[in-house]
Amino acid sequence: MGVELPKNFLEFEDVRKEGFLRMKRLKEEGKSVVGTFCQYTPSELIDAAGLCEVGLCGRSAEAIPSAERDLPGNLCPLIKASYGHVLDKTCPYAFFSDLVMGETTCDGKKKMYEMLGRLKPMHVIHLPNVPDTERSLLYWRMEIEAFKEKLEESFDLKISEEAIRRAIRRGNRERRLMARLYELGRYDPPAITGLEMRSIMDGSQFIFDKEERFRKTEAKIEECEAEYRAGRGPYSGKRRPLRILISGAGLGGTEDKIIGAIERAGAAVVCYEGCCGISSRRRLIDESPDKDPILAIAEKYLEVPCAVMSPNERRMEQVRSTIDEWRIDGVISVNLHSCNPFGIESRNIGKSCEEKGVPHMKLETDFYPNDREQLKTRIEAFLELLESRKRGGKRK
Amino acid sequence: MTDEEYRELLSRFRNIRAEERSYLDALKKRGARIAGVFCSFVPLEILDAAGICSVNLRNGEESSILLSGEDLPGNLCPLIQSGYGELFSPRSSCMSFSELVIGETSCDGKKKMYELLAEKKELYLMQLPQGADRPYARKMWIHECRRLLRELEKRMGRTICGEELRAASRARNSYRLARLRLMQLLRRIPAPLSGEELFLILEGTERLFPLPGRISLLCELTAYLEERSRLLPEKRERKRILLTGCPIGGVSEKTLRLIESAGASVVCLENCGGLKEVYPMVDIDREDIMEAIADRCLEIGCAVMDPNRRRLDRIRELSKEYRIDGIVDIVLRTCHSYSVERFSVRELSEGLKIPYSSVEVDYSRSEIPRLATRMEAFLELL
Repeated sequence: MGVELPKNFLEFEDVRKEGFLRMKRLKEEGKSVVGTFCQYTPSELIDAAGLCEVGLCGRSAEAIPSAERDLPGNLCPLIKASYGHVLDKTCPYAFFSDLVMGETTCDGKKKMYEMLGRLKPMHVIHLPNVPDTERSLLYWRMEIEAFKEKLEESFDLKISEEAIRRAIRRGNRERRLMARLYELGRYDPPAITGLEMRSIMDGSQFIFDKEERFRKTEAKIEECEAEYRAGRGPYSGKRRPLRILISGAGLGGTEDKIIGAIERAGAAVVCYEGCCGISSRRRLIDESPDKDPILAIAEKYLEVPCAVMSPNERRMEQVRSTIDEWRIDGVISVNLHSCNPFGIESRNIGKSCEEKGVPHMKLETDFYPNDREQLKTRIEAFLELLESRKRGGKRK
Repeated sequence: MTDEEYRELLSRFRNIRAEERSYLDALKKRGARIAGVFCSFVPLEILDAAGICSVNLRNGEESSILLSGEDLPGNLCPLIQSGYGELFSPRSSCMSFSELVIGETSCDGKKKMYELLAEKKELYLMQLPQGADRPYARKMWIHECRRLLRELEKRMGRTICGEELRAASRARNSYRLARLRLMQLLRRIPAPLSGEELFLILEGTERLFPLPGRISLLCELTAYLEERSRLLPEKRERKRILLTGCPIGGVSEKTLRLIESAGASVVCLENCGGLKEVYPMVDIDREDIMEAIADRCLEIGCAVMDPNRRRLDRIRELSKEYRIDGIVDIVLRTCHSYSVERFSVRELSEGLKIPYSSVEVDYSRSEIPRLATRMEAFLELL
């Protein structure tokens, strides 16, 4: 069963490619650029410094062979691709970055950044391992403060407290908007496809003017809502699709093989769960005027429920509440090859799903197309199982 | 010690599993409190001062991997899989004798495995910083060490004073020194014992004797081997290899033994279980002994640290000290920290003009023929 794409579907898809030219223009105008990789980036500080933040490429297999000259084969494709694109100079955004910011999330990235630091000016922030206020917050706040100082020193500027507060408010606006985007998936049938949801999330990052980014994203959300109300939603007039939650991180290079395959088989990906799940969107940074803004930023990012944190109860809570709120029929964990944190944590994700009485399937993949058919078969089998459960009315 | 006693001791150490079980069983029966640890970052001085015996949970058992079932991914470090698998072992083991496991957030795999372990066993987790050089790293780790002390005080129902910590640190330092002296015998040409014998002794003494017994046995062995080496003519024949990387328990047969049966000598074990954990000593003259204990840990040149210059500096020094002809870097499957850091070690070796080779291994026996060919080819190059 095919899914009809709304008319502006391609718009956000093209933004990423077009972003390259936008970035070139920005650089010509004298703007400085910070390349980043991860949800732990305290983007508010980059914004407060008047710098442009861009997510660096790490989603295609093209750069992996050259990365493997320096990096081991049995390593996460995201890490290899991120390094390979910088090495090969095939990531235009890395090329234009005046500073690259990494973070010690997982062992592989942590060590890869040591090598990347030879290719680009680099700053790595050290994350705590335990997301616990008493044990970690003070030190984590120091890391964020040190990042602020690094930006000030690298770009010869001063970041005022007022600018940070403004950036916090702006960051929160973006979070609310992205939460609304996810919430389009709560409709039954959903008012958006999973692929489109991702394409907007992903594409919007490459509109570097934040006000323009918000305007376009909001217009898109409103268009989806209006279409839905007018009976022209992607699933209007069709059989209600199975509702799938995708769990995991670093999905960029696996989108078509997994989300595409699910939706081509007639089911709908209605929400995503992981570091960029709904709780990261809904958990805003404290805007109160008497709060130390750096501490407020530190508190927020300490709560990102990435599998590198231990214990990671926040993520289990997110899985359970998303299953309820999005009325999920089945959960698919997508693990990138040899990603130890997500790989091991998928067992606890499975347990959380079990508690909710929702089937869970683990997929492990990389950025190469070789396993496309195998994944498709497994996905179809899983959807069949969900379908028969639904007919049998087994859901709790 | 006579030649015969030495040979007997080695053959005992070759089959320590059963003996280790009865040793721990006897300890337990005498009312000892036992805690298990996986990693050199755990400050054992604090456990010693609390009167808790520590056992090493890196058992190197291939058979335990299967016991871990489907809880863990297949493509994971065998040390983690087998350590976790011991939880399900039907026979008694270091894991079953431990009332508590003291974990640490060194690598991702262990960090996340501990979450699953905590469902079956009492776990206390220490939080390591991601690098030793951050201005706050010491403060944070000292805080973690004090937190562990409080936890153990609570568990033992008594307070532990600074002098107890100092005495424990002194004893651990003597133990480290005794291990170091033994290992330093291999600086001689020719080495008075093989790398395989060295590894057996290091493992065996640690697993079968209480701390004071280990120290005296190591001293006795060192004296015996020193005497023996006097009888050996000074001539250089075998190529001298430095092993670095992950701990080699469970893979010594396919690394150490293969290298030595191909005609070279492993004269330096830089990894954990070898020199890595003995080098930094606790500075027992410091006023705040807990700070000295914590500082020692942060000197360990483990690849989980960002950056990890300490390891590279150590390899550079050891290469001279032990007159090394070749460096072999051992990486356990999906140990990304050591695996990615090979880039830097290789580069260092090139700078030192010492041939370098690295192997990624797990605990299975099936790879032995492949690795043997690899090692022979490498040694031919030397």
